[in-house]
Amino acid sequence: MSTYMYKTKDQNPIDAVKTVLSAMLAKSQVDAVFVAARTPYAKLPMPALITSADKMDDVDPLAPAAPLNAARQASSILKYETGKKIALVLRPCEERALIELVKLNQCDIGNAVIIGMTCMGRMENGTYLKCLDDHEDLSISFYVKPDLQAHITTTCKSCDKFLSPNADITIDVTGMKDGIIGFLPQSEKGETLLSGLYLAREKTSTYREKTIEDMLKTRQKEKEQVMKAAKALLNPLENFQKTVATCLNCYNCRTACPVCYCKECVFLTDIFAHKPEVLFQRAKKKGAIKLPQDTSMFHLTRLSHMAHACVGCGHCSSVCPSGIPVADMFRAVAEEVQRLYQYEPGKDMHERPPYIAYREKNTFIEQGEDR
Amino acid sequence: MTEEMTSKADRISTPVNIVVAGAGITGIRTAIDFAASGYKVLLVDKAMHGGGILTRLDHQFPNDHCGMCRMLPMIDRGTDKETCLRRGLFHENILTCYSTEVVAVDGKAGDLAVNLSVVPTGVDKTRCSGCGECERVCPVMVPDHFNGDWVNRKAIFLPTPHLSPDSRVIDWQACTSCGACVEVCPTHAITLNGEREQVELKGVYAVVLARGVNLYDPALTDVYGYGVLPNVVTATDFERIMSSSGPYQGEMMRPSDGKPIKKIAWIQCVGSRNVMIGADFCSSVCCMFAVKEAILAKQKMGKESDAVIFYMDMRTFGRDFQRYKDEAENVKGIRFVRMRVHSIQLHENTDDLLISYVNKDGEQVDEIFDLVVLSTGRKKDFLTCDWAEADGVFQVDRLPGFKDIADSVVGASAISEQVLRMIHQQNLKPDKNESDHSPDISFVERRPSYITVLCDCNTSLSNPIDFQKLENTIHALSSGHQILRVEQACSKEGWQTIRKAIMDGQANRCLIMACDAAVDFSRKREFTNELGFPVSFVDLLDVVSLVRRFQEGEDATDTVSKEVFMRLNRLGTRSYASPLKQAQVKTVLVIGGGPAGLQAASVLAAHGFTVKLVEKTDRLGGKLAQIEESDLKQHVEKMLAGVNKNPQIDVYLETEVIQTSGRPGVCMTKLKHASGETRIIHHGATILATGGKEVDTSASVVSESHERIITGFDMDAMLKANDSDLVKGPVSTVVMIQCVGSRQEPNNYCSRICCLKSLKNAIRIKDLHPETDIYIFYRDIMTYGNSEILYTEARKKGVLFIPFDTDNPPRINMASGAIIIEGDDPFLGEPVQIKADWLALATGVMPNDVSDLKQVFSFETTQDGFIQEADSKWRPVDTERVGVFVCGLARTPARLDEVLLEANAAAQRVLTLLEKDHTSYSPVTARVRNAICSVCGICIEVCPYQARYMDEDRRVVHVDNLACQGCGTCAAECPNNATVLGEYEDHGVMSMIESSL
Amino acid sequence: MEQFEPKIIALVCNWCTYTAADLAGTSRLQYPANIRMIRMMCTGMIDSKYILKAFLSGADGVFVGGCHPGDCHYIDGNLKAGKRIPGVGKILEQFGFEPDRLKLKWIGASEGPEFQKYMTEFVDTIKTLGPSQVRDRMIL
Ligand code: SF4
Ligand code: SF4
Ligand code: FES
Repeated sequence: MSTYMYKTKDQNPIDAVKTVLSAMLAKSQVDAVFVAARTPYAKLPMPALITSADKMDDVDPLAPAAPLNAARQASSILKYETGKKIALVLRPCEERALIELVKLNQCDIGNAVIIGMTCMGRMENGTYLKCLDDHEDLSISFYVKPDLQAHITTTCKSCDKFLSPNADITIDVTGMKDGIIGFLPQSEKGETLLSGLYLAREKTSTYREKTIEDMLKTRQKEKEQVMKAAKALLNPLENFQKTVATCLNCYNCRTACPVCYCKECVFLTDIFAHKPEVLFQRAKKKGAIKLPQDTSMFHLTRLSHMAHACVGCGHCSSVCPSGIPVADMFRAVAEEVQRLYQYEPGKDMHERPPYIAYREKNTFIEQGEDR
Repeated sequence: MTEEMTSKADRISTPVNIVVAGAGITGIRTAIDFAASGYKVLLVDKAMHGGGILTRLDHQFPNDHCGMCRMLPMIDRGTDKETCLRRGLFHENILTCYSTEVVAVDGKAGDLAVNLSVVPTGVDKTRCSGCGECERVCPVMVPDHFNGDWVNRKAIFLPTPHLSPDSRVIDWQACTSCGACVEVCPTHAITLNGEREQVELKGVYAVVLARGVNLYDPALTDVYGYGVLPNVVTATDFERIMSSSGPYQGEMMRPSDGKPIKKIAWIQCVGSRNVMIGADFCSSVCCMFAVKEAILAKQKMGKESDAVIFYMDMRTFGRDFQRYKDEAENVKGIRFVRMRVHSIQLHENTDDLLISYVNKDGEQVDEIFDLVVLSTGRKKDFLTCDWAEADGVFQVDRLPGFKDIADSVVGASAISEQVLRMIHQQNLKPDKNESDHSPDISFVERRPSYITVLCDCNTSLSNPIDFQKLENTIHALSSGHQILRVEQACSKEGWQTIRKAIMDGQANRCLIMACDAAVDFSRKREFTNELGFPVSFVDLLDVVSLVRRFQEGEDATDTVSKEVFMRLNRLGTRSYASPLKQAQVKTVLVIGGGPAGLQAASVLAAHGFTVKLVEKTDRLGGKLAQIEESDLKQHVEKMLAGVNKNPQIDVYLETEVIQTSGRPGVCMTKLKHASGETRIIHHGATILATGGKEVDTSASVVSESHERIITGFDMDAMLKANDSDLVKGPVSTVVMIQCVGSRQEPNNYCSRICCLKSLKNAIRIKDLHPETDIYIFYRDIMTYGNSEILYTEARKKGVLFIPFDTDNPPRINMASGAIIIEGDDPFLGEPVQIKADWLALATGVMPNDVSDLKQVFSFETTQDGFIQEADSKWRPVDTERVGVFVCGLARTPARLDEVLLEANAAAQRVLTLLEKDHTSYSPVTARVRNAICSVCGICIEVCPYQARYMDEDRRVVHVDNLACQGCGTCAAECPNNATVLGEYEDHGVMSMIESSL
Repeated sequence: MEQFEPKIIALVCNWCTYTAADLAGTSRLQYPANIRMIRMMCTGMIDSKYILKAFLSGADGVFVGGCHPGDCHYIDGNLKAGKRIPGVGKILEQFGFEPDRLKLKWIGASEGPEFQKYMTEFVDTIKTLGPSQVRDRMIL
């Protein structure tokens, strides 16, 4: 929307973010801020709901870590209209997930201010903690030192959707190597908020575009490779069997998935709680079966529920105790499904999910009847 | 003859409340109406099958689809076998009996003695397994009339291709009594006795006469060589050529030589609109019928094909018909030629057919066709029937005529309403069903234990089954399975054995494997009612149809075992939810106080309902003043007086509906008076009768007003006023222009009444001033049905008719102060110029604005603002929202008599919904397991019946049990099965899938 | 080698396609024995899980048959299936199931011959494709 951004000068970038968020609270522009913050007992940043301007000390949205996709937590605050105005600081994948959740009636963001960021990626928890040992200022140095950036997750490395086009404000980190952080208004709402905060207003730096362009190129290249490798993990089915051989049916992946919105997964319901007779029948048919059952069924069913909505955040991989690259596989499938449905999750709050919009883009029906 | 042989006459002996004579659409519709209200119906037809002409058609206009099944009950769906109507009508309250006639009706309405004459089919339905052996051995071949006589059939045969159960019948005329079939029948189902039986029914409340009209036989007038030229066929026979179940299995080939059909001509009005043969009527449906056939045929013939319709007037008088025809012409490439074809000749030495005619530009054209279809209409008269006027007999039509499906359905329900009104006023009750047993809960809730009944009557199968192997499969499923082998499940003894085994045993799940005679729908009902099984705990496996697709002799054991295995597994997953019964509010909200609203209100009050009649303006009656038919006017006036006096009808004038909530049967609606005062009413159903108005579209043809340029409505009014200039005269020339602002975009529909109005005006003027010249510029004169006589009369009286096309309409020139109409006369082939004293523009009607109501009730409207019915053929007075009905001009342009019928039909729909004190619902209904529902609302958006809604405050999703039709889309879309569909729970279906592999 | 007899599941809607199947039977139109027909009320109720379940349980092919668009008893259940089922097919394709193993066809009540034809064709297709890649030892 605009070709300028607001900058804070002579300030540590993290402090700059804190200042802006505190100012929003102090000036009552918003009632609360939803942002990642370190908890008093751990160094990993977790989503926090902050209502008091002086509780900003541990806020750390720029930390290259995110133990969970915050969209689901955000949606629990925004479940329905409460009259409260909330600023949400979200990564792009979280923002996309949140938009999907809006479509699924899980939350209402009409009254929220979304603060996105140009995302450089996150590390797995372990990696992050290890890096933190060597770099106390990891949340800043990460943006300055390319060798640290090399530690981000495979998913992040191959993510080409690292911008927040739907946010009201984007936190621009592309200038961090020069010690600058920018706030880019992207909507009327964002503009009004920022202009009330007495920040310096400047033209968008040219290096932003350049950095983004370069990043996009690298990421796309990486993505191609990851997707290709992922396809080999699925196809033929034999390969997929190897990939999921160690799957425990713990359903962590689905718990971590921000767009798996069911209160209770269907795999936990009576439908998959087989009677002993059924298990015997199965065993009898094949001679032997592995328990727990329904492992492949679980993954494929989950895909059939969320492939169109998969935002590619990678959290499913991160939480898998068996180290199965769930996200790579799912993204590979999702890409195909999304192409089929001409559907891009998280792009537009008003675009209806394909199953609801069954009359539109129904190529099967339009083209007669062949499948 | 075996002892158990049950003749048709025996079966009829069960109590019958209402007899419906005639099983065409009308008969079926009324029968379903009565059955849905709980009355026992006997549906008879002289023919060997039900369904009338519809059994021969695969698709019907105006949407080229079928959808007949949408006539089936939507409430209490479980009373019906939910299956394609072409297979038959299966309702627990309806007994169908074909080759049966009502011969006498005596007594008083409410207590009639009805005499029936029944021709036995020769085949015991309860025993015939449909194996078809008899047909194979029967030596007699006769032309198959059902299929246009192009193929032969046997004397023992299947009367319609879809019939289910597919038991054969004997055509006694053809049968030689050779006995071959009797010998070969493995179930001893055949008796060669075609003797008519007489049956007398007593205590019948009413008889409905829905006799329909027969098709005209073009062989009677041989102008087009029908019967001589093999490639000249009738429109209904042509349906068979197109049908996959027809003589050529849907290949488009012509009868004479099997040549692929690429070019077809339709000739309209064969046997109709022909005064010479005394057919001074229009058959009403043939135009649209031909357009539909042309569209479908062209689709089937593919590229390089040609379909031409020769017509006099294209009678596209239904709401959506003009656009349908336009699309056929402009998009689908059907050619329309206005021309009465003189004759058809053979082309040289081929079987091709030659039609010569003069085209629009006056040139002589010779066209060669592969096939010519004669659009034959109806015969002139009803078949005679001496008891038609007897007391207690309700005739669906007083005058013979064809109607399209929507009109037939409306007419039928209107009659149902009248019959039920009589019944209610006499306080007669339906014969109670014994079926209201609820199963014993402890029995139902025990762990599944099974009994499998295997009918040994292997003899009727052409494929061997190894029963030992089958039993092993069953035992492998789980221990303690009870297996019962019976000799003949269809026989009385067989049935007793099964019952005893179940009563004495422990099983609470039952599978019966037998042929379809033994496992037909009524059996299942009987079974579940008597033995207390919930319907879904019993499964009937029709083993004959299962193996029918095999080659003869092929071993069927594997397939049958698998199927048994699948079904048992699924039975094990079934659970039982006791049906909720819902109380109904017996009050009806009627919106609109015009003729339709008044009719609906008075009728419903007569049934004992309370009516809330809401009218926007400050008075009732609508356009009462304009009604021209004096009898109808009187009727409306009487109603008006009645409504005002009736304590059961509350009238709210100057009032609008602003909000509604609830579900069918129980609604709450907020009304707002012009003063701003609001009130809430409780009701069970709603009828939208918001009406319509004339639309003055004169401006589309004349730029300035002129006192002698008036609308048809104005002219009518003037002719009624004795002192008007028109009545007083002298009048030298009157011109009328039809379809002003109608039948072209944006108002591309026929208003139905303007042609009649113009003709009546013209006739009246001619009566007053015979010397007056009258010219009517028209596109197509829409005198459908018996109103054709007006057209004939006007022509006889010397009114001149000049056709025009939309691209060359008559021009009105007022430059000199006089009114000059210029046009082209295609008959003379030259321009005409007429100076008129009076010019009447036939302007049409449009619906009143309903955009506010649309918000409130969330129904759909057509692009012209008419309220969209749920289904334009089969559910014409329903809206998409169950419990909200529509009638009259709000829905479609119509004549007043038609409007009133619609109001009765809408009232009938209300009866079906509200008549019973409580309504229960079918087990195949969706329910929400709220504890695991994430309230995403996907299910609400995909439900086609608006049967689901969200309680926004409590964030819970509800299903409306009555509106839900059990389509299961919601369950399929719900990712975690928070929504489940009864009988189709996912684990059941999946276990069936799994066990089939 | 023993001849390959494919295992095929046909999920057909209760109204049109089931009627067509029945008509095919009454008209003695023969079609292969290896088809297990399961009657659904409407194609719109066919959950993705059913198709996945069928394939993962070893089906060599799944055929879905419903009313022609416009004929669906429940107005537009078939349109919903027309949107949903190709998506499931797309997913299966990623796991190496050939697209031709899942077929969706509209078959009207009178189209007994068509029913027979599609069934025969489908069985032929599956025969050419050979057995499904699903094996007993797989973790399904
Ligand atoms: S789709 Fe399922 S989870 Fe969503 S609202 Fe409907 S029942 Fe609830
Ligand atoms: S979508 Fe669900 S609630 Fe609606 S009619 Fe179908 S089964 Fe019933
Ligand atoms: S009822 Fe046949 S597809 Fe819906």
